[in-house]
Amino acid sequence: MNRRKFITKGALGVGATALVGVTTQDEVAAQRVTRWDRAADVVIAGAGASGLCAAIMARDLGASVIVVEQNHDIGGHAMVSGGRIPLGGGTRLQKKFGIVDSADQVYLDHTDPGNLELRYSDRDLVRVWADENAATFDFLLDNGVEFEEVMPTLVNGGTVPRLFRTKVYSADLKVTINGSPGSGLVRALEKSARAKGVEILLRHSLTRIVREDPSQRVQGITATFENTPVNVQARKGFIIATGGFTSNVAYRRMFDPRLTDEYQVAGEPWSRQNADGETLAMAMGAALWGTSNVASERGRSVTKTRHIGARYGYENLRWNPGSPMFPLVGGSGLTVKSYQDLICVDQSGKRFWNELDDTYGFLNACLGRHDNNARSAKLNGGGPIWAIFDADAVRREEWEPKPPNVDPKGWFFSADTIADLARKITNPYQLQPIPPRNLEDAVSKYNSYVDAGKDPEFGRPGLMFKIQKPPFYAAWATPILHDALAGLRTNGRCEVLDIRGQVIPGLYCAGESAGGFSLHGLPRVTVFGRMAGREAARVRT
Amino acid sequence: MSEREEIASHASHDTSLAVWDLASPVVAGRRATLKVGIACPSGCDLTGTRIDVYNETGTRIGGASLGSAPWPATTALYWAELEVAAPEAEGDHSWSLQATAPLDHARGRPEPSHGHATSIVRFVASRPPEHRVTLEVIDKGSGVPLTGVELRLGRFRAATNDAGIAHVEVPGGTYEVCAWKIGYDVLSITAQIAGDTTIHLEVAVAPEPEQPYWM
Repeated sequence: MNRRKFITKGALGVGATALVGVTTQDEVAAQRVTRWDRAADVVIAGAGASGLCAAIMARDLGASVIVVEQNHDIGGHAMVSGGRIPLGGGTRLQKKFGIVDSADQVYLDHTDPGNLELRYSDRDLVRVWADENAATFDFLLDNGVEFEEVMPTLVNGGTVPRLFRTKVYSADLKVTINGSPGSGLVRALEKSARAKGVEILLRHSLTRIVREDPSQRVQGITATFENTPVNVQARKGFIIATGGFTSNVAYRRMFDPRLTDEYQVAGEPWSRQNADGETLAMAMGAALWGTSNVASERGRSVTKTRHIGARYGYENLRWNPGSPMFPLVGGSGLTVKSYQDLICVDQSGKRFWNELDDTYGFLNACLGRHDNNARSAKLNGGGPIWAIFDADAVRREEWEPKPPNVDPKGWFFSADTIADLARKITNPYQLQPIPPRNLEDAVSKYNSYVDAGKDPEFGRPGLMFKIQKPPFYAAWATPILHDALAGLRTNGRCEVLDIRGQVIPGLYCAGESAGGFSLHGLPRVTVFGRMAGREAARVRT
Repeated sequence: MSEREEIASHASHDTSLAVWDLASPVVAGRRATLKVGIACPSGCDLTGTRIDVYNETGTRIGGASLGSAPWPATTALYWAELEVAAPEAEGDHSWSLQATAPLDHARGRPEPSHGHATSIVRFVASRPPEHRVTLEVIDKGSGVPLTGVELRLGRFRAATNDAGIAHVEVPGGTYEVCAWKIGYDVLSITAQIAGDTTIHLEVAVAPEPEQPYWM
């Protein structure tokens, strides 16, 4: 039976007669009956930290599991992360170091109203997360994750030492991608998952969530592999673990319209957080949760660039030239020891803020208007920010301003004079040339402030160094985005809720795609991933 | 000229100047040295370009012809060191610099394509130094002398040597003394300088910022 005949017959079988006059019979049938190419009890989109935890837990409970992953390899953002997993409540490693902790204390520490970053969280979610802390950490140990066994430290405003870090998985950059500790988490989980029978389909992008009858449960998904749709039935449940939305410009601008396309994202180009799961779930009526966290100006939704002169300069991710991703990365960046050694100018070549400010004040200034008084087609976003410095700064910082440290293809420039430097700056996001006179004026004024020991424009303290000795340099220093901090609304069983607060049956979410708890990173995504796998596997069919 | 017009008028031989190594403060009434370079975006050889320096009243106070070797690490920055008389008065000053392209012997006038680049350099002039101040900087925790500590006494600046010592000659007066080095807290004190003196500074390592926000 070919596909067309199968669909037509199937459509007749489910009584398509109620739908007439709107679409053809075949179109109705295509909407109503899916031919499944693959099937499993639990289907998961995303093979990052959350998806892998979900997969292993579901498999441990006897469910068959298929994971689809859009990348060519597993790991997601966690692969290039610092592997910091501050879970508590009395984990085996905490006990080994004589640390007394409890789920109650974990809950209290993460719901302190004085914690500006966490106080907008959904305390129902924090409670179940706290209760699952210790079990999840021990689950990681049981599945082969190895930690650096040193006395843990306090983190996240907590009162009990909980911070353990995973070990780098191996010395092979083809395996670890960038030699980051997070590889020790996801590679160990991958090994365990595969050994237990989890099937991982790489290069499969989530493109559809299948629910033929809106009043019934989610039945599965469509993933796209090499432009071919693959329908995967989820007999018990489908888990969204696609990893957040920061790479999706249209989506992230729902929360902050300033975040236009010039802002790069930590973790790119290795993994992109495209909001695939969120957009599909929202089309089914799913609600978002904890949205205020995105613009609360706490945590790391927008960050100050630390590795300048390259496209991806997130402070805690410096790309290794030996990484298999490096041809796409372009440069590691010059690590700034002190912003004393440079000034920052905007897309018109003008200074705009005290460069030594490490608060959101600096970031908001970067995202500001920058002389764009409605004369440009692009009014949102602050445009490129360029760090300007001279040969003396290179000596002080002990930089080598050449590839692979910098990327001269649009992200780093050098010139013999300040005017020539301005003329050389071209970049996909630099929408107009920098007037040489502007940059010369900015440097000249700054130098006069150094003479005076006072910056009357922006109040930069402790002025030390002029920018005067050739050659001169311009390095990409535009803020970089990181945490999503909001996502789909879920209940304590990781079920996705719709905008009326009702469960969407068969649909689960965990990790960065889930909202309501603004805790950064791996402790949140591992716990809720494991929970989602458990809850989906427990469904009776 | 608007910014857009300025961009539009940019030609590939639009030369520009760099000025560096001018001490600031300079000593009022004494000789001061500075380096001046000129570059063409097309990398033209600008050997022999004339640089003239003018004070705030428009009086020419010095000049030089640029040499044939570009400044190290530059593409084609032709340069010269000049010595000129500093202003007699204390305070903030500026000099104008003007470049004149070498003579085109065939035409009997300056070679036309490189035009006349100009620049302004701002600096400070102070009274002649009266006292020698020695600054000794150590790590507060270990007591070890610290090299490369950047120091300010008012508008005067210096950096410590390998022995953790710097010397600055200043006029008498009250100064804010600041010490800064990468990885250390900024130290700031006030000092009354009325004779040759030594100032001991102990700077503390800046606490490593907690970095809870990893990937």
